[in-house]
Amino acid sequence: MPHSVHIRSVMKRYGDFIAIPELSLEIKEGEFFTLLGPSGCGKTTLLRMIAGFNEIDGGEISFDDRVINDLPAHKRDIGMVFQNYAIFPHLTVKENVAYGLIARKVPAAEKEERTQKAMELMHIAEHSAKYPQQLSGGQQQRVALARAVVIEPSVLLMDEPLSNLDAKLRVEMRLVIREVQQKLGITTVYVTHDQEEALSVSDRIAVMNKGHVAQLGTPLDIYLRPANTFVADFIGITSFIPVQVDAEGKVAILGKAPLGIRAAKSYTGMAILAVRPENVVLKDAEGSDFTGRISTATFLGDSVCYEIDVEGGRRITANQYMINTDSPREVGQTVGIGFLEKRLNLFDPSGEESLL
Amino acid sequence: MNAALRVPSFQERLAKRLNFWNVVLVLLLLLTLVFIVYPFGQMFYNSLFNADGEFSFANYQKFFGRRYYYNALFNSLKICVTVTITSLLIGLPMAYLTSRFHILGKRFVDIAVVLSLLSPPFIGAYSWILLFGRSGVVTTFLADWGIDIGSIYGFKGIVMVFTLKLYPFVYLYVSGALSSMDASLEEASANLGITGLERIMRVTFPLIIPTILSSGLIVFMTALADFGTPMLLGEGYKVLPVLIYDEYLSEVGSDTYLANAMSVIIVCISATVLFIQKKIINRKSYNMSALNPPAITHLPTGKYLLASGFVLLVAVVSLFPQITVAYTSFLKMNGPLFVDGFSLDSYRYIMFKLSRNISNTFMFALAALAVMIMLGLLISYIVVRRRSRASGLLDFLVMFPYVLPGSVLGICLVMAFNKGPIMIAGTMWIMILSYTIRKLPFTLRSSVGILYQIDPSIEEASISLGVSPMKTFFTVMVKLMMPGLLSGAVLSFIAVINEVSSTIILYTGRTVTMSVTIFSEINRAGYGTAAALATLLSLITIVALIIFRKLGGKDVA
Repeated sequence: MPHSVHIRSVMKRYGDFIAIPELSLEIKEGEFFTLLGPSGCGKTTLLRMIAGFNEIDGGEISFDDRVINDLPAHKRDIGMVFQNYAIFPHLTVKENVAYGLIARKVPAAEKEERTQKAMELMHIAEHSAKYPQQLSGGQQQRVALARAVVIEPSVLLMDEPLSNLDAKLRVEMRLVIREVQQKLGITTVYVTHDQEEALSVSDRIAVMNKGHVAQLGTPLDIYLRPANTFVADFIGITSFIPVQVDAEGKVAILGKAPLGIRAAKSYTGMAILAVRPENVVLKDAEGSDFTGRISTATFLGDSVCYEIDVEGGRRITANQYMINTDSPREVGQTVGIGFLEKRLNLFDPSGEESLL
Repeated sequence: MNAALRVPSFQERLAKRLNFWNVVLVLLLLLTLVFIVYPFGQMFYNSLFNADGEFSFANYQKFFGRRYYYNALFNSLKICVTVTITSLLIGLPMAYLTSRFHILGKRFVDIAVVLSLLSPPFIGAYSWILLFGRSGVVTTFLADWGIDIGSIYGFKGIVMVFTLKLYPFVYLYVSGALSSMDASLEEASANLGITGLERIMRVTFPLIIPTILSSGLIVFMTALADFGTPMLLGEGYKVLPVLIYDEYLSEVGSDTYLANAMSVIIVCISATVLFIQKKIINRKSYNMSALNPPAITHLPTGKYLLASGFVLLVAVVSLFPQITVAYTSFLKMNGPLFVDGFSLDSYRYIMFKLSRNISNTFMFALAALAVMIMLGLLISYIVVRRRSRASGLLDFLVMFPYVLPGSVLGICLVMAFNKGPIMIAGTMWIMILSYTIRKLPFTLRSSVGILYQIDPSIEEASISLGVSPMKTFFTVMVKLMMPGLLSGAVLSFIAVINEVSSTIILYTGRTVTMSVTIFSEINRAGYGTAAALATLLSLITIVALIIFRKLGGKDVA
């Protein structure tokens, strides 16, 4: 049965370096929860604290209402999938999958049945007698996943499980992971630095930076309404443009006419406008208030990505989808720049707070 | 109030620390304390007392005050430095030629090199005496033609025998490094216009400086510690280990206090050399990934023959001792004299009269091997995976005997364990103890190497699936480490059966081994017996070596 995970004010230090100062999270039962962040943000540290491989230096972690701080790793009843598979090289596929059941002294007949079921679920039953060296990377990761779920763990932990696979396999495997998690309903904590992966598999995401949670929310929230410039910059591509907010809350690019958005909070002064490439609308330069010069145009198949130099030595990235045009614009051309205004985001000058 | 923020009581903290690995760590530290720190500490302590039991520096004053003594120190250093240089001069070009070009008889060269390395050191000295000694076969033959080749005794002879015995260290280490080097670096150099000898000096060798230094260090330390060769060949030319042996064991005028002081001096020298080498290596280490291993190319015929000639000549010359000894073992003997014709008398003699020596050799070596494997597994795990100040100390203490010459270790152990609660001097236990302490560093290093290659998450996977850390170690880790560890252990086994410098201090009539019997047989002119034993020892070594190759080829990971 699925368990909830409660992380309360946990702290982790390595000597003088504090990796996680104080962090709290509530992970609901059956939830697919992702810790997303750049390397060194503390996401793997936190995952290994849940697993029992890193000591908890302050605060507490509990599964449901059982505090697990002092429970050794092998008694936490956890399924774990590692970045480099960590399949036992001296055991066959079947022996690998059955390993945790043997440790739990599951009766032979039941062990046999559950092992078989797990292998079938992961489509590796036909390889059951093979050794790991005879399998491809994707197959090895399937073995690792089968081995982790067959024990029906309280919590399933995954530490960048797809980062050693090639791009195509990564997309295939993340579908498999999501599907299996949904089918079994296991509470899952997933660590990755790949934002696309995080957006595609998670129920909720905690974006982490320097040991803190920068934003907690659903994939849609995080992409559309980033809480700060760190998240806006880390997830997807964002161009930042300095703007002025007047006393009425009107927002304007310096020296230009006001945009159609208003700062929600009572704030006046300089602010940062965040624009995603797909929300930039390119127009003819004539009659446009805000213009720029195309410095590069990269054809990507379904779209063209432009880098546009605007006043003040800044650059804006814009995407133009091929379904909207037949001929991409040329490098050197001056274009008018507009925005899909309801998708814009606005932050205070420190970038810490949204002004919408 | 948050329960986890409460300061845990002493009992709670102790209970948290009381896990399998911490218990093992404490036990191992206790073992090193009793069997390494105590014996050596006692020797150091004793070196500070005079014969009347008063605290003084008299021993050191005596050593540095008399030419007879301090001269031996200079002689030792002179020999070690010379041998290190000559071994590098032979080993480096050989390694380069065989790892970059096709060479005639490369397989034979490899076997010859390893064989000459693994025989007891004094076998070489003994055979060269048989060939080039005062009444040696070659000497008398050449003398008949009026050619005088000079004396093989003294400095020249010792340097020659050491060089032929020790250049294989350089050859093996450096070939390994050269063939695992990334070829792109040499290609880049060629591309920029630097090739040939200049490239070797400016790119190839500088990149493997750590390996070259390590091999040089081993040569230096082995030459410094060995006493069989200078004993047989030195005659008037005394070196430090011979002096220690004399002072410790000679019937007349022995001075164990002085022997202690000299032992301390020799240990200080090797520790200093080791320290300097580590400093240099830390500064000069480069990480290279051999994505693109160097190709072995064909030389033009002239150069091919020249290169092959050089390599084969060295290999054959370094095999001379083995060949001589094997040949001698089949000669008919009449007392100490060789007479015409061949016979198996020498073998019959060792089988019937010296069977105990042979069985002892096996028994001690296998027992030491079992202990070393066990300790190697546990210690390497603690050193690599449970890094702490205590594990660093353990690593240091276990590696320390690496700088102890065998005879010094032997003396330490006898003095420490001939009285008190652990009275094992004169028994087989002290032999096994000595072999274990002396050769454990080798097993440990190979074991540490393997552990670095095993992904830590394999172990974590097992633990997360519900198997305790202790059980995980014995069921998963040991299985994964074993193949590599065993191949390292076979080398330790070979080193043990050929060990003579601590054995000669520790053995008694009941615990006599093959290697030490060879030495004593040579000294009492039992040449046939010595030769037969030495041949048998070489044979066992070869068999062990074949097992080693077989093990090395079967890797799990």
